[in-house]
Amino acid sequence: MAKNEMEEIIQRTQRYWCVDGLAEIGFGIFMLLVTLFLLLNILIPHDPTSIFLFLLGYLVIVGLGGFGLNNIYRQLKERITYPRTGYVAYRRPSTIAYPNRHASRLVGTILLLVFIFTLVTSLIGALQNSLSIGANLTLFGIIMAMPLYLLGNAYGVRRFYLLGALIAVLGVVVGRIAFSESMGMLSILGGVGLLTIISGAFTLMHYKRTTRSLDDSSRGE
Amino acid sequence: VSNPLRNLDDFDRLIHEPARLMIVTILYTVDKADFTYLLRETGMTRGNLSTHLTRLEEAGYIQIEKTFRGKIPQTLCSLTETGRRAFEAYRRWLKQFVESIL
Repeated sequence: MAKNEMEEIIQRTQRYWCVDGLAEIGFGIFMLLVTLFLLLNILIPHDPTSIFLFLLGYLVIVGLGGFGLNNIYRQLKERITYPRTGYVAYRRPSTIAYPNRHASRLVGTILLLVFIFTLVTSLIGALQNSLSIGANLTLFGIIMAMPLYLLGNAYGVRRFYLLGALIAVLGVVVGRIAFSESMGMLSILGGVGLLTIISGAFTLMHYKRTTRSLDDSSRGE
Repeated sequence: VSNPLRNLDDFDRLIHEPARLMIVTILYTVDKADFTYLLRETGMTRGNLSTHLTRLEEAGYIQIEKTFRGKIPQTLCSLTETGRRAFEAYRRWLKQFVESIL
């Protein structure tokens, strides 16, 4: 077996977590919950009681929402994925030997620095009104697309590139038509949620079509 | 005898076999994988995979654990520290060997 084949096997094993689209669907639902919550924050009056309820709601959404989704995700994996293509438990990311580890770390660090720099400058820009609403929203869309691009690059998943590109385009489109910055950002966040759910749903349908659950009798060694 | 050919004596023949190398490569990447996953990924028959797993277990490279997930029997495989070191040594040997013949 050639060295490249070994690296391909390592990468294929690493990307098994997203083979069924369930992680994307979960992430998308979480993003929609966050969007809905932020929308409520804009709509409700800003008195102390409302702010208290807002903070409480934030903890419920992030804490319980994340916990609940994680539990549902595990149960769906048990029902859909493991009987079809098997169970895998991953090691901690820091102990996994990535192909070209040093290069990946360098590129990752540079991209992270660019990401932080862009985020900070865009926030400062927004505060100082140095950027137009449209430019800010476009930048926000690109920032939201970057993690997907990085994921696609790290695991060799092409649909993440497409998803990243669609989110970046969404940022540009919303930047052109949005009448307010807050609603524009919420549109992008909601769009990210919807797009990842759609992508996950298509992946799940394809996965279920192309795999079948093994009979109970044929399981195990 | 030239260096590259002399190096051929140094490699781990147990891991070098393509089917077992595939199994060890997969297990090197994860903490645990079940029999079903290995079966799908390697494309081997049940009997063939079982034989290779037994060979690797006998060598102390992998650990096989028989459990149940609900009512369904599950065979979990993981790489031992010995297996991990053997795989890393094999990768180093392969890299050196390829570099020496180029």
